[in-house]
Amino acid sequence: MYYVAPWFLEACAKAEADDVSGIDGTVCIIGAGAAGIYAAAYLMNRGVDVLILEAASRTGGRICSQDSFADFPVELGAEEIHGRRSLLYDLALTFAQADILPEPGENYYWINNVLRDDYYFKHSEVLQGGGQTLLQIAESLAAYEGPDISLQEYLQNFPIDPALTEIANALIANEYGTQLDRISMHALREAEQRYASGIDGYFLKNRSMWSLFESAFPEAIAKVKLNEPVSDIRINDSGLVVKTIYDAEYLAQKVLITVPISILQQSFISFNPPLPQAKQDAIAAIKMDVGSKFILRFSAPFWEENTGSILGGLRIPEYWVSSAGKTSTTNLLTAFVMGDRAAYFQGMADAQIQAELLDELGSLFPTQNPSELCTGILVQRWADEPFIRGAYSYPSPGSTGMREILSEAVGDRMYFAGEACNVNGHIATVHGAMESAYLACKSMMK
Amino acid sequence: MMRPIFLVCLFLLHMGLNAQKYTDVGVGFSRLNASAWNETIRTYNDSRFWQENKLPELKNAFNYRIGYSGVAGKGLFLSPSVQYSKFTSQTPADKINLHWVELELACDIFPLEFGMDSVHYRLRPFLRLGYAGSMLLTRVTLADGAAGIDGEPYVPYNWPYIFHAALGLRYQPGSVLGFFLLFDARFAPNAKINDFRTALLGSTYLNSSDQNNVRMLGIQSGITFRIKN
Repeated sequence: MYYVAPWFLEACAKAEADDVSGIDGTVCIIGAGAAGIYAAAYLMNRGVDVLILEAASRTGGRICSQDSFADFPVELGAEEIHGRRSLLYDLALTFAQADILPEPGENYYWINNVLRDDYYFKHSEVLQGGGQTLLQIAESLAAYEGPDISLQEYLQNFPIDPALTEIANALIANEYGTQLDRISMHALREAEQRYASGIDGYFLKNRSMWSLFESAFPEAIAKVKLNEPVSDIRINDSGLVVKTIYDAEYLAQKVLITVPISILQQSFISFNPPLPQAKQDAIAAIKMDVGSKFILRFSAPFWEENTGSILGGLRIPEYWVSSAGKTSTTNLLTAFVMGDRAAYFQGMADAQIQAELLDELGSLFPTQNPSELCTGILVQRWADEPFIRGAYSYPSPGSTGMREILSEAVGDRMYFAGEACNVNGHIATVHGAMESAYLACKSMMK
Repeated sequence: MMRPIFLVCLFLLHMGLNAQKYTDVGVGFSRLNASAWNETIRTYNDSRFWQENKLPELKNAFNYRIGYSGVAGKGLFLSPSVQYSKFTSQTPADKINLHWVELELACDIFPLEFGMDSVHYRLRPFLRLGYAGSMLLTRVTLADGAAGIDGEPYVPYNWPYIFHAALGLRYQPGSVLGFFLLFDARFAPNAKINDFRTALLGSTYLNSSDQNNVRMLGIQSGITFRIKN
């Protein structure tokens, strides 16, 4: 049959070609977060020699948990698996299937100083359909046609109760890592159009997100050199020289840069020769805002048993019950805040943050007394992390089409990956970081 | 939708018009070359390199045919038929099924009898040239049992058309019962599975296309019955 019509069956040999890396030197991976470790494991699986340099004293990047605050690992960074059609969900299926927890509970909304349930939000005559309208707006962002205005300006075109603006901020802007007036409608449309991994949310029941990576890629994690902040990348005729702030030098054939966009923006790493102007423009255009998580522990729950999230707070756009659905006797409420509201808490003492949050929770639950029930707070300000310096990238004005440029290789030596480099619309997600790493590795092996 | 209806009408019309008639039932095996779909499967396996069970590419199918042949001229038959093929890619957890139903109108040319008044041969070679409207149904079920995208059911169907060329042998030992053997090649240009990449990868950007030129090589055999007037 091959002789008669070889073009009919040519596909059969192609799979074998993918197993050859085509890389004969060392690949230096900068950053040991989701993108870096996934890329390292992928390349090692193909026999490529990798060197992984991590600036911090731990692996994981923006995936980080704390084990002693509760009787389960408390996620200080990435916590949710977005959708079931993703590398991360499949990783969880392989290594932690029993621990996959569909997003538990229902949403509660703070509307005109009263906490309302989901039914009220969607069906209340007082809101005149505003809740439904808001949900429809959120679902139709991918079809937006119009000038590149901010999301805040766009929402003003709809006759929705002003009280719902805070909920829009919580549902969309805060989720994207910023606030309403900083989101570009064109960049948001681009992200929404491309997003394809599914709308369901999942958590892990009694294990940390990073433990998935530790289970799946132990060899890659074992190769990480910690406390090696890279300061300089120099390309010469024979390859690359990667230099750390401690003047250690590493030689490599190729380099994969997976650091957060904020680290590139703040020129923590210098490039010689300098990056192309288009790349520099892309780095400048894709913004990352301040973001924090504050986890409050209570001796008893004062919220409704079916509470998942509480949306629309004036200080904290979203609280969620971190202990919901878990095998735990601890009662945790996570406060998730981005943008200026997160900046407000920068430099504030933990006790003062706790007091501010309890004050707001006291307003949300006027018949309860959260202050008396609170037994501690865990504060994670990502902008204070010296090698992170922010939350995650968001659809900022002027960033439309920039992620393609950011993710492009510079020559055949320098490659970029990480959530900000994701061109699939899966920005700001762990699986988006992994996908960008996959594409970078494929590009490297061409 | 018009294409299958048109072919059914032709089939019925043809049945009533012709004197020398055969029906046939066949079972066959086809080898598929669908590069874009298999590229998606390769990307799925490649990006999930930690998974021990790899999804096989869509390659092999058993197919089943029921057809009819009526004489249209000396050594020339018109042969409407229905064929069902099922291509499967499966691991213990994941499964992709491609159900392909073809409604074909073919012209069978018996070169040794072409233009002759009577049939002298028991072993009769023939050439089949066909055109089929088809319906392609795809089902993807991954390890978690999820068969949808964004909570919506994933039930894509498409209507690719297929060109068909085959070399066959018909053996007619008696006046009614016969046998046939067929070596065939099929070509479906621009056959598409909507959102196949999204269903499998959760992304449309990790590889190129849901659409490709599908080619199939196959062998089929079966029995024929001559219908006496």
